[in-house]
Amino acid sequence: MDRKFSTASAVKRTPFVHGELPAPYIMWGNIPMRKGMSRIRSAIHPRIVGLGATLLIGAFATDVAYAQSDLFQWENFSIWLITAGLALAAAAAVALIFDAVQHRISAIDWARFCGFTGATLLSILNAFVHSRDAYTAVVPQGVILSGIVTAILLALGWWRGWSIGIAPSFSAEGERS
Amino acid sequence: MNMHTLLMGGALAVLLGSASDHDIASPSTQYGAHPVLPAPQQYLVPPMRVPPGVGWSDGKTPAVPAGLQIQAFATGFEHPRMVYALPNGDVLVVESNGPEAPIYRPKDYIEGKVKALAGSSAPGGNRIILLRDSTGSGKPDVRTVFIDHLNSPFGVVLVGNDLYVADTDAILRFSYTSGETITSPGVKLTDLPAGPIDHHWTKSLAASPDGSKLFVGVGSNSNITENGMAAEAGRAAIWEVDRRTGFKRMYASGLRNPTGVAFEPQTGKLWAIVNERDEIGPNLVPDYLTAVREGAFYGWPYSYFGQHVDIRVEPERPDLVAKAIVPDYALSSHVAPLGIAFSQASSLPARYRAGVFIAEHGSWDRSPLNGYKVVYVPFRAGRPSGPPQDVVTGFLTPDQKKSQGRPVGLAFDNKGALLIADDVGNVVWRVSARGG
Repeated sequence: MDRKFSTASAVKRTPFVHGELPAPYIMWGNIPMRKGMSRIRSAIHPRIVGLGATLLIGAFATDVAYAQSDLFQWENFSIWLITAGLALAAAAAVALIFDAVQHRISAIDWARFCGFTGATLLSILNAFVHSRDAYTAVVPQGVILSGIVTAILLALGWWRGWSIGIAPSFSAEGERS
Repeated sequence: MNMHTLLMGGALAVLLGSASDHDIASPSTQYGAHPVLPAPQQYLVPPMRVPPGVGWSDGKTPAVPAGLQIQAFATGFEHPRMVYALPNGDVLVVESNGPEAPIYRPKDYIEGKVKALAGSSAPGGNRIILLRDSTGSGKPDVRTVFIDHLNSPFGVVLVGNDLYVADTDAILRFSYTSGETITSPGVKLTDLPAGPIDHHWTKSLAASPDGSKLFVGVGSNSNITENGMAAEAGRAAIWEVDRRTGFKRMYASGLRNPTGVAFEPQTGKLWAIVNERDEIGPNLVPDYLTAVREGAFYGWPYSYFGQHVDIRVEPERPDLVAKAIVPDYALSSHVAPLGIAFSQASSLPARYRAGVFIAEHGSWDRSPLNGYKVVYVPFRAGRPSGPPQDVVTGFLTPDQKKSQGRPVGLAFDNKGALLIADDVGNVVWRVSARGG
């Protein structure tokens, strides 16, 4: 199965000059599309996953700042970042279901799903650790957990962005595969 | 990698430990000078057990042992926290609650909801009510607003014709004439540490036996410095205030929340009840009763009961831990002592005339529950001489699922009966000798 979006290859087969589209083509934005081909709708969830991951990674930064300074306000930043990150994780889960139902993804990439879910579960644990009072809300367990979460998220994000799904591919005829 | 993640999560969960209720030693192991102190725990979710406050159904009262009787002296208050008996027999009832707590963390929001369930968030009247029993029937027939528009008041003390009220942010002085309502506005004697957090907001108040000084208990601004050390300036301490000039100095420190201060009548020494820290175990740390030594440091936040270091406080202060002194008498953990009254004015039976009564508001982070009663600690030669005895019980329903009331302030009226402010039942109870 071709995991890449197939628009580009579909277009290549019939060269055209901008402004002189052959009859079966229409423009969708600046992308020429064959008539009858369904519009390519991108998945929603990666945008939310990316935002949530950013917040959880930020919590690691504020944890490190707390561990180095003992200034309580860094701990408060951390717990709010983790809480907001978890709220976005919940939103991303809803968006993932939406994307699957809407065929914005053709399948769930279970390896990545487990990675992101693991990071979320560790962050839930971390939210409880961060709800302790004073130093042990962060050191050592809190900052270790946010460090592990950060490593997981950076690895997943660097590897293939923030998508948990497999993008749908299209045949030359514009049919969904 | 996924397997790895799961294993890591599991390992961490084990590492972090989890709370359990079993093996909690009886509170009786934590009475007196040498309480048993277990190893501290660190929780993911601290145990919270808060019986919803439901109030008293008609005719129900707390229970007292044989030889005593209890009746509602007056009902229908707005969160009564303190009672104070004036020399002419009038009784003052302080209706109060803390200022609105800010939400600094998600936890603050959740704890606020839990406290509301327990009835601890009911708005206080921010005023003092005067009750007068002019017929001697044991029930007041006059009820007036004595002082209105106060700011989370708690402590009250009369010295001569000066009535002092400890608002959460200042001590106010009012000119008092027996039998009359206060009309002139209060004059500020001195500021006290207050907002914007004001975590422990009550300011307890007592006057020295010679009337020259006032002693004010000021609680910490956090459980264990989670709001930063800067927020603790002047707090977790007992202040001595000169009654004439308002000049004040810190008399003793390291007392997390000294909710009651009183002078022991035989020795004339200052004693205090103190609420100790939470969230390191159901049997840590015992709340206590102690004589307050001038200039002494009692450990908070760095340590408890002497040199037991609290690992939640960073940076550590071994120099302060080394000089932390052990309080005199543990009351057991999380009982939340909020009211104190020595028995010199007591007309209760002889066995209740040489000691101190302590109102235990009751636990919220412990199962089984602890406190929710008024106890009597016998004294001999100015020191505690035995374990605390239950005097007023039955604030909880028999199944311990709900609280009908919770005792706070204590005072003896001019007939020697014990008055109890109940801030969940919104009642002032009166305990007297049976047939007396």
